[in-house]
Amino acid sequence: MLITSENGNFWGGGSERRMARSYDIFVLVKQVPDQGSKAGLNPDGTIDRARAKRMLNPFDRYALQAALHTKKHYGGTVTAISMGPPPAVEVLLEALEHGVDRGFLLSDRRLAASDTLATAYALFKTVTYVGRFDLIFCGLQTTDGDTAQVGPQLAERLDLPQVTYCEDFSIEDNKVNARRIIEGGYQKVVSEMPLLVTVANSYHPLEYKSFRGTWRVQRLQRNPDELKKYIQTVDLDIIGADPERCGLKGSPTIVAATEKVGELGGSCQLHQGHSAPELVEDLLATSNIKDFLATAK
Amino acid sequence: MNEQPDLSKFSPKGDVLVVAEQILGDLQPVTLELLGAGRLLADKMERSLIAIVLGHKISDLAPKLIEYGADRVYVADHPELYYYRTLPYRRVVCDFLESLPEPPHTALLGSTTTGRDLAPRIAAHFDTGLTADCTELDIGPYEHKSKVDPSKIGLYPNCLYAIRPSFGESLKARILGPWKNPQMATTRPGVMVPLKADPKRKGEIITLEVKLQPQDFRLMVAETVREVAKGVKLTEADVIVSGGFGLGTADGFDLIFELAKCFENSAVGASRKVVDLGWIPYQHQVGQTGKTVRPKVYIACGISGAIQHRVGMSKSGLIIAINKDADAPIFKFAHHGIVGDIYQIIPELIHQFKEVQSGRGVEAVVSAH
Amino acid sequence: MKQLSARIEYDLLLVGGSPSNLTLAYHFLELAKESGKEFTVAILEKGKEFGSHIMSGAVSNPHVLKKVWPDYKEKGFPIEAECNESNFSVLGLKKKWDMPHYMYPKSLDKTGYLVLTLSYVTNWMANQVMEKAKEVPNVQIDPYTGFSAHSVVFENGRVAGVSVSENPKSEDDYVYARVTCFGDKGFISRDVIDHFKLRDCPQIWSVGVKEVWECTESYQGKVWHTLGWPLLDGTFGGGFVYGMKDNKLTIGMVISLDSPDPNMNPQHKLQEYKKHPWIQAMIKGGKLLKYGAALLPEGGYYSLPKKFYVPGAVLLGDALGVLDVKNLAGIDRAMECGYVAAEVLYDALLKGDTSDEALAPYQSRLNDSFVIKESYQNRYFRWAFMENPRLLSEYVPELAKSIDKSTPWIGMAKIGFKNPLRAPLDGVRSLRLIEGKLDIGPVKYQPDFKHIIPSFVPPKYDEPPYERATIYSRADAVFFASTKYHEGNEHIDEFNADICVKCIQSYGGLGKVTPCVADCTAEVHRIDVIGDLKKHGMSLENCIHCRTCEVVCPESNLRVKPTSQGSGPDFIGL
Repeated sequence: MLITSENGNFWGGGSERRMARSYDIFVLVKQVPDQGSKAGLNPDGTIDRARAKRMLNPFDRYALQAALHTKKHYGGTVTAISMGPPPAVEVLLEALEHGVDRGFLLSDRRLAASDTLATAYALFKTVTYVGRFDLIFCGLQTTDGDTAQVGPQLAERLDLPQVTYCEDFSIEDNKVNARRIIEGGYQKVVSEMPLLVTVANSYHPLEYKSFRGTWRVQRLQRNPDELKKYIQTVDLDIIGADPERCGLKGSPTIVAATEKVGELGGSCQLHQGHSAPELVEDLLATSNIKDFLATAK
Repeated sequence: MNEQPDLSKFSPKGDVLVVAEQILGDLQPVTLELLGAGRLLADKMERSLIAIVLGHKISDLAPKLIEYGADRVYVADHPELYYYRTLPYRRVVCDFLESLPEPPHTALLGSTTTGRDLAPRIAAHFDTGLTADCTELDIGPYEHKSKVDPSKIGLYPNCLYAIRPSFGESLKARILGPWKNPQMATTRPGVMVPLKADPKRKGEIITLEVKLQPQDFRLMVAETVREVAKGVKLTEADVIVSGGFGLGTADGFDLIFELAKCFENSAVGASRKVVDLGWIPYQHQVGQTGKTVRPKVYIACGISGAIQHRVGMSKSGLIIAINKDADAPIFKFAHHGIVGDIYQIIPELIHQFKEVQSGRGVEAVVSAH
Repeated sequence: MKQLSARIEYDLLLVGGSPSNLTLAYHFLELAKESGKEFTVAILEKGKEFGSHIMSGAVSNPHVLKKVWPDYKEKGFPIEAECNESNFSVLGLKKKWDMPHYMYPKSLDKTGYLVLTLSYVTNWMANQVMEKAKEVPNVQIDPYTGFSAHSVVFENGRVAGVSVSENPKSEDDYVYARVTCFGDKGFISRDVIDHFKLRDCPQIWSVGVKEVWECTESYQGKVWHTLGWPLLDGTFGGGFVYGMKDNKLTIGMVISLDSPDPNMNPQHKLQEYKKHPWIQAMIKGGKLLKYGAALLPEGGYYSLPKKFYVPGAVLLGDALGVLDVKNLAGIDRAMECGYVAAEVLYDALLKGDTSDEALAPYQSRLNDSFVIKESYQNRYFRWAFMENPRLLSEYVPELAKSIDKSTPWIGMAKIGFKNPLRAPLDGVRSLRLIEGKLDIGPVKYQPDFKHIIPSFVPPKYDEPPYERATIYSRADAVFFASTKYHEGNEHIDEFNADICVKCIQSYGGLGKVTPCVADCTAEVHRIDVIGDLKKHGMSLENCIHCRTCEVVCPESNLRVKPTSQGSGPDFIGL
């Protein structure tokens, strides 16, 4: 059974303008290891995912902002979709605090070791299961995979037009006007919906969580039955995905080997333990940096 | 028990393909770099290096691709291909790949806003593997032993080794997927080395028939603006002064800009973390997901020197690092390191540079005689 | 869907994740566990996590802690050290004199007390509350970190709740409660005090500035409280140095904001303090870890509000002003407020009666406790120094000088010799006031800024030699307070720009800057020169929330408001 939210204003606030239609907005979010915290880093530099602190992928914050902005200005409901082990429900709760209407978590052991293609397939089946949509927002990339591939691969599976590196966005006459970054400039595009958008980090930062959203989530966390009405956890069987196309089996690439990155150079001349003027004098005396100074005006 | 690995199971043929990139008729440097890398891969396997270029009125581009190493160039020229757009470009490239008697062994794209937009669509269409932002490419054998999927077991003689840093970890990962062709990868501009242009190189130019469909026009380009003069000339600067999280606040960049002004032809760079924090626009980002730079001087201020940053700047001529933490990894590969508070060091640097510029520093030396 | 805009309501709304409110929450849970009755509690904490906006010295008597958490040690209560050597010392410019124990009040002997990092303690308390809440399903406790109370909602003559947004638009931006408990430092509770006209005698303030260092050796358990250098200009205050575990050392100063000097920079004073050879020897080769500043309400007994409760609300800890300067104690007093409030509010809520009468026992029980009893005993402590400025402006400098030159005994003899009649009389009267043995009736303080003498010339001293690397400019120090603000933050109001222009002019005429610019602990206030106009400007992103500017503004033209979105300094570790 699908969760339906009859009213876009459920969270209060709601749309500021009356709109001819209400948009079904999906936003994809992912939980990633918190690289800012030293907890969970193995001595050899690899991430111990079990111990690492977890966080919402920083890029997804821009996607969330774009989704919530669209809801606020053009009307609609926002559904957050995530894929990951059970703790990933935390990022959906965080999304609810910010004002997302509902969440879906695809969680299944058979998804372990999925590469981007297998991930895109699993998300494709999840999106199709969740239902009709006008817009899908994704973060530009994740901080753990760092590929920026899943968004476009999902768009291919769904046969959608896409706007990647989107940094500005509006809807007019049921068409999306978007601005995307290109090398040394930008491109303005107009697209039909449904559309998939990956949001660049030059888009507006995510607004702070709402008090009512936070209030609601505190309630849901105490009441698992109530929580299920807002966040549904699904597995491959529920969404009708082919396990052969997921996880290691469904991934055309594998990590065949890793090697520790060797130290470069190792010949650094270190200046330390003196006052700033002395340190700088040292540097000027021992390097040729002066040769690159601009000539005085 | 079959002792000999089964080589017959997968015997990849196919050429090495580079999908060329042009913006408003300008061939992008990354394409030439990819041709350089692709040439090596093709030679190693004794295959041809082929390229496809899409656009409108781009007849001058194909010969250039040959000069830089392509054996065969396919040209898709059509008014609707004037601007890059995902769907029409995707259509042409997919149709082209399907038209080949044998899919290419390897397909390479630039890790640009265009390449990163297009490559995943093609990979998903053909259900093939794609590795993003590679820092090295090679060809070599691989024996797959994992029994998770028995159909994948075997020895694969010619595999594309797509090598990239693994994020957040000081590891390089070798990623490969020999089970399906084309094996795809993208590389950052500035990473691979182009061949020297050879006007005498011979190659074949083939014009493709472009057949677009109505659903390819769901998205239209209203305007393409290139602010060539403006913007951050990170890749062309002689001196780059970069700021990182050690600055503490976005305002710290005022100091970075001031320091950069001391140098001829300089630019300001930044680490990924501060770009993520919104302290400075993305255009300034140096590193794996930003720009790869090779200035004559690189001054890293408050940057720890994680692998993702390092791959973007380690080839700089003179690397100077300023960091409070003497154990910061950047001191492992910088040429000169100053351990200290950037808010004390940088103003002092500016001060002493100004003295040198105004000639006072020189006078002092003269008068000492 | 009417209910959507329904009010968000709780039984108890705790404003501020402070030791007082967290003790309240914990003790309330214990009480409610027995009855099994259902209650709801919300805790607003403006910091991004519990503890990130709080700092203190701190060396504390654990008596209330032991009452609330008898097994605090087993529960991992964060202790930096147990004081095993307590000193009260006077500093000259070169030397330090540790007073013999018989010469200073017993209350300054901290042996056996705990040296604490209050941010850790607060964070621990919040975790204890959330852990406890799991055992008490009948009480709903909702922590809201990163949410501040921005204004008080008064309805029908009572406090009904607070707004949680700077610009409240709908019911989404308010939270209501049957009783709101103000455990803040005055950011918002002052509006309650003003609304109900509870305070005749104004509150007076000191600012505490402190650094935490990692040294090359351990001073764990050693505690020093000092007089003298660098406060030799008559300003009330002193320094403190506490040895903590892991070679950490707290170095701080508490400086009264009633200083006559309009350009008294507390952060700079702390740097001067650190230049003393005794401190230099400890921090040389060490590493600065953290810097922060906060205000201390010092008025004591006579600055207490007439009522500790009003219809719909109670005041606790610093909101009330129970800090005891003479005892250098605040945390235990704040916790006692929370402890008593929990019992009174629990009874009231259980009976369904939160009227004035039902809350009255909060005040009477505090009056009977050590909190108010000792506050009464020490009611003239601050007054003794205000009444007789010679104590600080003449006697202390004289003593400090003698420590460097000869011995403190000669210094004391000199003071007596120079003032053969006055000094002994001063001594007797001041001592009797300090000890609470002389009753001179109620006193009324002037607001701090009224003590400023614009033309004041501070005495000049030759600084002792010091290691440059151990001294930080104010701008550099801010980095160690890890401030972080959201875009569009505007948490300090300047009411009238023209008043600032005039103030800048008048101080400029004296060759000085305005008190807000000089006294700021974090390089926030500045003077912008636009053409020939000098205007007041602010770098709000540097602010570490101490509120000194507001207290020293000669025109009462500034107000520091709580920030939103968890913005501000990060005091974890202070």
